[in-house]
Amino acid sequence: MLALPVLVLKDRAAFWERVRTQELHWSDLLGLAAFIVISCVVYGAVLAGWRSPQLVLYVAVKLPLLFLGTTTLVAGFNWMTASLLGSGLSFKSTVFVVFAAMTISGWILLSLAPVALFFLLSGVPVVGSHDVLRTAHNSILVTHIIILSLAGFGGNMALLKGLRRVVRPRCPVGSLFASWVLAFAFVGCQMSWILRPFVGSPFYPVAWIRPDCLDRNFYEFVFREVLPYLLTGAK
Amino acid sequence: MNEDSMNKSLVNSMPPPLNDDHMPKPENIVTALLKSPEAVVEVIANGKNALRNGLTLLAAAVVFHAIFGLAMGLFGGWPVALMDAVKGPLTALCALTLCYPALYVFACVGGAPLTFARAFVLGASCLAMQGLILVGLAPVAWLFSVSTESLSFVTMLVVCIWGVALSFAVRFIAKLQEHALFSKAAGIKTWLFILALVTLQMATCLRPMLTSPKDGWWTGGKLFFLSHFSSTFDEPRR
Repeated sequence: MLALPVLVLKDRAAFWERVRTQELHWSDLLGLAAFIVISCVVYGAVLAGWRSPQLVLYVAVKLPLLFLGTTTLVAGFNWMTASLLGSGLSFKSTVFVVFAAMTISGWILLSLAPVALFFLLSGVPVVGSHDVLRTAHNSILVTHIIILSLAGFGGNMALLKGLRRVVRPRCPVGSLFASWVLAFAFVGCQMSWILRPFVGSPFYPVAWIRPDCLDRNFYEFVFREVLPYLLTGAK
Repeated sequence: MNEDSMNKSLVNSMPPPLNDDHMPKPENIVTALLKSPEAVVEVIANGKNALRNGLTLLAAAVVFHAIFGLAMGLFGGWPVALMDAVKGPLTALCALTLCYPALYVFACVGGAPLTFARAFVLGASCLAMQGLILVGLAPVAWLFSVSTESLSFVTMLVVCIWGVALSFAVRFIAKLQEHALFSKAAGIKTWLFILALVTLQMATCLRPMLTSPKDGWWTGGKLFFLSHFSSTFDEPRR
């Protein structure tokens, strides 16, 4: 089951060749999916580790749900854009390419889980004054943002290089890559908004999801609250 | 999975390896790190005697960090110096151990597929390279440590010296790129940045480094390294 994730990590050229020549079967996808789930469960547990064991359990379930759910929601769009841009990729190939990129992100998350856990255990107090807790929350948030950004960057670079290897010569790889990443980010932001909390603010109770998760969407929040706040200088 | 067969295409494009007679032996590997780092790169790529080479480099790193710890710790007197002779290597070793999985994965993601043995020697050689520079600058650290009472100044000095040592480790990684197997070293460079952050947090975790703790060897309590280093500048003179 680990053979394919290891191949993706150590010899991506061979993996892309297998995608290009349609050697992979749907059953092979299970290995990649299982690895993505495991890496997200492990990192998810660390992500919420500072708040409470209950949130650890919740996020260990929610993080794989976020990644795989977002991928499922954009899978059809990915295949359509790939077809429209003349990539020559089948639906199965588009799924394998995306899952390979997520596998790379999963490897990075797994390898940095000990580092995140160390920062959590040594740098983040769970009790203290309002200011102490706010600083702690911000510190752990920055740590996770850096790690998740590294994982995202690694995954996206693998995706771009992979697309270059598997699509037909005249396909505009840059446009295809941009459309996939934009779709994933657009849906992923809303999914993470619905599934929040992940890190867990010390000023809100621990919850599976927030009671107001469906009251408005991520973009309404950004345009109605974040942007006006930034534009008016927090007046 | 056979890693050697997976790297076959890369290995085929490599320049001919150094003759075994010209490869530094494990007992000479620290000297080679100083005088001809490219020979150490060859040792890492070759993979022979990986355990012995790695352990020798780690032992050297421990000794070098202990000497530097002793020199900087003299700021707080002999008890602190002795404490730092232990805490210095402990900080470096614990940070490296935590970051080993990341080294393996980042190198592979960056396009330089390492084996576990190569990753072990590479991590150890980076630490030993830092240690070499630290030990070279230990007299400077000692001179300033015993001639000032400003904690913030000595903290800044130690961080600067450590930064210089780190820059030499970066330079060593750049040397790696001359070898075909490590021509894509972006992942390893990113790893070094992570190692630096973890080392800073580890030093915070093992605080105090430059003053006597109130009780035992540890202060205890959770603190983020940015808060710790910024608070150093608020403290009164010793």
